[in-house]
Amino acid sequence: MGKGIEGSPMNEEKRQGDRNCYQSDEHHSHEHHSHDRNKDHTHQHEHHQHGKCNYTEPSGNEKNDRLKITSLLQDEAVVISAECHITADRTLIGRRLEMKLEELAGDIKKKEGIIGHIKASMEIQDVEMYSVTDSRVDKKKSYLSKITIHFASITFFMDRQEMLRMVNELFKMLESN
Amino acid sequence: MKMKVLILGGFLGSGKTTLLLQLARYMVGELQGKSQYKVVILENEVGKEGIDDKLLKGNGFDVENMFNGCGCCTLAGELVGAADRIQTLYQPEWLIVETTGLAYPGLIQDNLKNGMGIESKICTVADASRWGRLIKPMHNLITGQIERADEVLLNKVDLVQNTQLLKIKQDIHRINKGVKIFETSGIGTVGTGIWEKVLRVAL
Repeated sequence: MGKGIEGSPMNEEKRQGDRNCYQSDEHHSHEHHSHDRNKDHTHQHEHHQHGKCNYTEPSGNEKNDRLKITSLLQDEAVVISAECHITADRTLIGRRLEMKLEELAGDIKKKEGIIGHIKASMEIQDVEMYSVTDSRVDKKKSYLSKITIHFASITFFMDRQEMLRMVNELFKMLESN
Repeated sequence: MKMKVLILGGFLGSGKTTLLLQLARYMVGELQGKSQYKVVILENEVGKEGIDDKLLKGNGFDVENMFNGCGCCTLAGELVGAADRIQTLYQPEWLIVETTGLAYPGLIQDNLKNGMGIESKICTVADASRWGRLIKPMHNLITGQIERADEVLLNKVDLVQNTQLLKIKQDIHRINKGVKIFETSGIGTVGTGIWEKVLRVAL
């Protein structure tokens, strides 16, 4: 149950159907820097039938054992994914994560970006050890938890590199003393 | 028995997963105290990492995943393969496909029909609280998500005035004339009557 299916990389097939997710070959992959969202403006790229998919291969930013961040562009959405492994107090990390996510949301709004969503999950592993040498069971518990954080954000009208920098910073601040 | 398919679409942050949790609980009978349907959920997330799937699995549901792309285009083949495998392995009565917030549910419906000959129903979640802010910059995407919906769940109505709700419903009907709109609020319990209507399919 729940077996994962890895996605395929950039799909060059032509699509059938009433509407294509992605624009045709002419679609550019520039970043949106400034944008007047008060104008009567529709999503800038018209969707053409039978166009190619505009999907940018994920690029890894930080790849080490503790933190992995990747980003991709899909239409004009900047998609950031991250996985982080920390050993820390779960309550403290939870509180910090909440604070940092709110700060991130605030920073995106200040830069006039649109948040599709920003999500994170924490998987927590605690260890309890039970041992008997005589008659009584001795119990020991780890005072820190092994925490895996999965992060995903989809934003619009944001610079991809800037988003990467901000998410990187979020995780750095999460662990700082 | 032929597997029934419900495609649950809607823009990012509209509340799809929150409502899906309630819908799934209704379908397996938790809300009535008796088991009703065998349900498998197919989660599609455009990023490399899944998040919603963990929440759904943590609530005890059977979940298959598709990451790193969108089932209406880049993962169209994988979508059909996943649905086929789910049908073969689990033989559920219902498959719920929760799309990414960037997906066009109509294309997913086409992919399932063309790839497997499976008919499906589309239920789109619309975010009442952000409608005004998003409808202009995200017009094409939101229109594309609503225009082929069989039902629309207008969510987060608790955050919006009645006059705004009326305007949003008019906007939705301009996109999809006559579509049934049900008002929901994910923070409360959605009435089982709504789920009964959503699931009532002539497939």
